[in-house]
Amino acid sequence: MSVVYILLSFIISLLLETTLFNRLAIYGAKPDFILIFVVLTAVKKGPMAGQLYGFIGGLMQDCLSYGVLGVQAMVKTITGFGSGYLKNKLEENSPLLIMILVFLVTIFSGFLGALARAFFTSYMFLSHEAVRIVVSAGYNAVLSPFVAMVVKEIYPAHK
Amino acid sequence: MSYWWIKYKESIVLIFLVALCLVLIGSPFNQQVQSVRTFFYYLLSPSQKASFEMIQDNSRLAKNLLSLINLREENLDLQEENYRLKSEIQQSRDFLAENERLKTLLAYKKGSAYYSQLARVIGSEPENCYTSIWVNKGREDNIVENMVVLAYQRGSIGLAGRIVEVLPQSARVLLITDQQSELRVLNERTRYEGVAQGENHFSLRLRYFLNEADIKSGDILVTSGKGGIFPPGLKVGRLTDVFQEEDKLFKGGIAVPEINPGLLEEVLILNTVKK
Repeated sequence: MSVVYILLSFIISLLLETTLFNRLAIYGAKPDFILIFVVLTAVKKGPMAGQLYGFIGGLMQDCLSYGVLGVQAMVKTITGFGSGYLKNKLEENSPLLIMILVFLVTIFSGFLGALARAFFTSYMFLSHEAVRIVVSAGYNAVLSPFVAMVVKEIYPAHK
Repeated sequence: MSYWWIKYKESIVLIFLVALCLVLIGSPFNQQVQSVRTFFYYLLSPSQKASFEMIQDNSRLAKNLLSLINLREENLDLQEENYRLKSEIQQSRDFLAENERLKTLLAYKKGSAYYSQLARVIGSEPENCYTSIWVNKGREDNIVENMVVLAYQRGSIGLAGRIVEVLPQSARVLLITDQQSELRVLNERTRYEGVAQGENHFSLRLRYFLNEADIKSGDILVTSGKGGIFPPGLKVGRLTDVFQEEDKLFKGGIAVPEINPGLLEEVLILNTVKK
């Protein structure tokens, strides 16, 4: 059942990202709810769940973008896999730790995505792209405790 | 085999998934890939439209959220009354602004040499709002690829982008600020020609202006009409910086687009077939 909830969360996240948060973009950056879900699910369930959800969520984002199909899927797969190794090593109830983790992971995945695009396409990495990634990381960090509450509901502690 | 699977299953799955992603990245932008994309967007499109309508109906929900936070601390009735009045004023302002935008676009439509249709923006890309947007007009409204999209902002009409993907009831607009977008532009004052490329940000990178080209900050850039997609004379942006390219062969520059694609609400889609 949790799979259904996570997929539903992905769809709602995509709707929010492409509609409401278009008006709340800062410096062109929007929060990446799917990334937050992937990281927090990975921390809760481990690398396998992290990479699978990362792949699905990233692919969904790729489908809605006009860029190269597969870049977001790859970035989020790797991010989910890496974050999964923090299972049982992170105090999940600490909002500050979650925020720091999400901030760092967003920066990592942002630069990994830029690197992949630069490697596979004619994409040029520009300085304001770096600023956008940092702003997006801040945005994600601020919103991560709220997403953590949703993830906590999907995966209650006793499971 | 089972031993290896148990011990390294996460890594095996990771390698498989990354390989799958690389295959997808390497696959050409062909019909099959496009069909998968279109199918997925087709599934999401009705919800996206509904979400957009909901946001519109709730009249700038985000703007009102901040005032809602303090609501409990104040006298509830007074605060509600205040909030209602503020919302009405905000709504009236929004309607006035919308009215002005639509009137200008309609006036442009009447005076234009091209058939055109007004459309509403219903969504953008998940990651960046300067790359592409979706509008609520599609194949059923006779929208086809490469139609030109204009918008009205801050008292002027400017080029927003072009249609690159069409579904029955919606279409994707590749914004001029997307890095994949390149168009030929003319300096309106001196008629020197160059190329403007998006930067995935509220700016355009200009290239290939001849060394002797008379271009300076503040100059207005318009479409040149060459290239077969954009008709001539559409406002693209304003030069903010001019410099010599590293190769010393050309001048380059930075321009600010005439319209901010991140703030679009309505657009005008031009059919570049003349009336």
